[in-house]
Amino acid sequence: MTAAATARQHLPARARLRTLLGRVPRAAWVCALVGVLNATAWCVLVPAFQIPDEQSHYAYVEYFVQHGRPPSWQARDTHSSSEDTALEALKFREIQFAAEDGTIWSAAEQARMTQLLHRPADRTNGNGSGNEVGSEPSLFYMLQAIPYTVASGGTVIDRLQLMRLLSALLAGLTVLFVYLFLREALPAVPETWTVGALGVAFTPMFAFISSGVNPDALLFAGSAAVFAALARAFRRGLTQRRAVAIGAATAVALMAKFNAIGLLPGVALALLVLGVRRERALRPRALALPALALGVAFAPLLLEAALNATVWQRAAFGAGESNYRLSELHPSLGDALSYAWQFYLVPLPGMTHYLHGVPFRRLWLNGFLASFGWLDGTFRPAVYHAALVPLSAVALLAVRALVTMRAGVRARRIELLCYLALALAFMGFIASASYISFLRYHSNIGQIRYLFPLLAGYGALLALAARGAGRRWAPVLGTAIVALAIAHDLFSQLIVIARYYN
Amino acid sequence: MDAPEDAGGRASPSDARRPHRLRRLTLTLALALIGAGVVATLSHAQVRRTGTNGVPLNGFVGTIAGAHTICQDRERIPAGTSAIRIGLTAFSQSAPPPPVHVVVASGGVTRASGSTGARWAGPFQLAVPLRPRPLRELEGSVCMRTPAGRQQYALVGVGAVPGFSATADGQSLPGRVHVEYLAPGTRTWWSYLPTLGARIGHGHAWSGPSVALLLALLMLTPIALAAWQLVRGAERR
Repeated sequence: MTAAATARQHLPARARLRTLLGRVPRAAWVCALVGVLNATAWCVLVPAFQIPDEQSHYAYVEYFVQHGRPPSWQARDTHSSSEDTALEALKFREIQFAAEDGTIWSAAEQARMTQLLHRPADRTNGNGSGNEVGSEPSLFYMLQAIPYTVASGGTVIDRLQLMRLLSALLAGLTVLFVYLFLREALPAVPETWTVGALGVAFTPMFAFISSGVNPDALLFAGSAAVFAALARAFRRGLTQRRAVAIGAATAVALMAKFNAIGLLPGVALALLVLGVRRERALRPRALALPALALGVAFAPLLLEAALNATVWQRAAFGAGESNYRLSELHPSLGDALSYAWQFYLVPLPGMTHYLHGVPFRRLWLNGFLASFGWLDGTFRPAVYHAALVPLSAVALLAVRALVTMRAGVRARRIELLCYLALALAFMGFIASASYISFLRYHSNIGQIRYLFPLLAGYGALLALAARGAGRRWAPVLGTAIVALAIAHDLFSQLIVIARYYN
Repeated sequence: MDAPEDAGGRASPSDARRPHRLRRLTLTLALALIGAGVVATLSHAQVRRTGTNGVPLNGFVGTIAGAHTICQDRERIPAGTSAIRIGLTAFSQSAPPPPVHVVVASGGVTRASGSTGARWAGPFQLAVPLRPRPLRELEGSVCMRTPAGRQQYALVGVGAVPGFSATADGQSLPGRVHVEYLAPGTRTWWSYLPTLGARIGHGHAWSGPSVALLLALLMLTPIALAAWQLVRGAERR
């Protein structure tokens, strides 16, 4: 241990935190601020409850504050009278999924909305959207209980607006961790860190989802932190503190949303590699720090499971009651693999068709470009065709950068394989969840936001693309990539304005 | 891939400034292009809506052939409405727009009507000009008289309970018909900005033009900040 490290250990916790934050580059803070401000713009832009499932997540927070415990799974959703009145006042049911209908336009509608919102209504008679989100973990909702309580004396949209601002702060955290991931993962190309982080900050679907009351916002931040913590450990070696950092980041992701379970196989593999690398052999001591990290990761989940079973009268592990439950279903491995393949790519000859069209294009590329509101805010079809050019160029440039840096890639192939395994396992988990949903409801749940826990990888793709034409052209390419992201974001905001206010 | 590539060499001052210049030039060009794109988009003129009845174009709620009167109560007709777009489609793709007669009534009095100049507006809507333009928002009914003949038409909207649904010759239909109210002529986004600003000012935690101004500021500030960071460049991390 160095003298500096020993000295750091003797600092008080607050001073240590200040030292730690002081080591974060100013560019990272600027990128994070861009992320916060852009998500805040989306907060103001998108009408209340027009971000996917926002009404259900709001109901969970309301239930949590009113009853002092999370909701449990229910056969159907019931909103409180207060929220139901607000949904009626805001014409929620009229404009959900109906691109041809706008929001509150006239002074008369505004007056009616204000009157309804100020009408006294019960906040305790809902079930917290138990069916939709009642089995989700509680960390995001506990955090959102703070702005809810602060704005408790206001109307539903006062509370919702303040809660959205907290989500926007989480968007900034995601961008910050993407920057820190790039700093550790691509130390040789520092000029690209800003490109990757700003590219993520201006990704409109990310800003849109992160601007709403949706636990995805915390999941994105937690997942980006997992990537940053793993990259730091791969570059500098696994220590006790770094193991705790990896575990803590994983815990935040796991406590944000059950989808984070999909990150676990990749995190466990990376920890194993890091442990073996530290001990230079696969022996029991090599498992100590990985076990510590996983212990930290699971501790809050186990604590919540204990509270669920003893105090809150919920199922210990909510996933068993949620859309992931397998009861009464008869899944088969062959069908699941076929489904997963089609979920991301395209059906091959001889496969049973589970999804129509080319999912890679329809769900993932088009969904990434624009699918705002309740999936009803979209560009004209020509824009999706034209966007294939810059998207393909970015992908090709990133591949070229990897080829150019092949010596470094070869030296760090195990680390890269760990990131790849993490991404593939996560994608496999999302496909499995959709397969279960398909078996139960005959519907697919593919939305691009489910892959945003891998945003750090997208940031790396942009950063690599900036170096794809060599060092000489990196400033031009990097700036052009950020400018493209800005244009994508700005025109996305314009189509949302046209969707709701025109 | 591990050590910074420029760690070993020492560049001349002009070489060192080159990335900075390139970055600034690229950014200026890119922002100019984005600005031009935004100006072109906002200069595009199109028909603007004064309001809708909030009924989505979900599906067919009834079919009609021959002379019938379709009515729908509890409509809010915004002030300044000069035409109406009704959820209606013909079964034959080549069918000309039917010469329907539309009447907007409030308090039992006809406030506006139209029977000439009907045209298809997209695959599921028929636009009919109205006269005179209501000077204030009206609450009332919208009725449409279809022409005699064999041509079949479908009404487009969403399922609704009797009493709230549309009626055909006084009989309840299974749903309510989608209606949009249109402002006169076409307008660019520029000329439409005051209306847009007013609409953005509604439906939020606070209301008024300050919402639209705040939104504009929030849309532009991250761009300015990102541009500043890019120009500031990699040398100051």
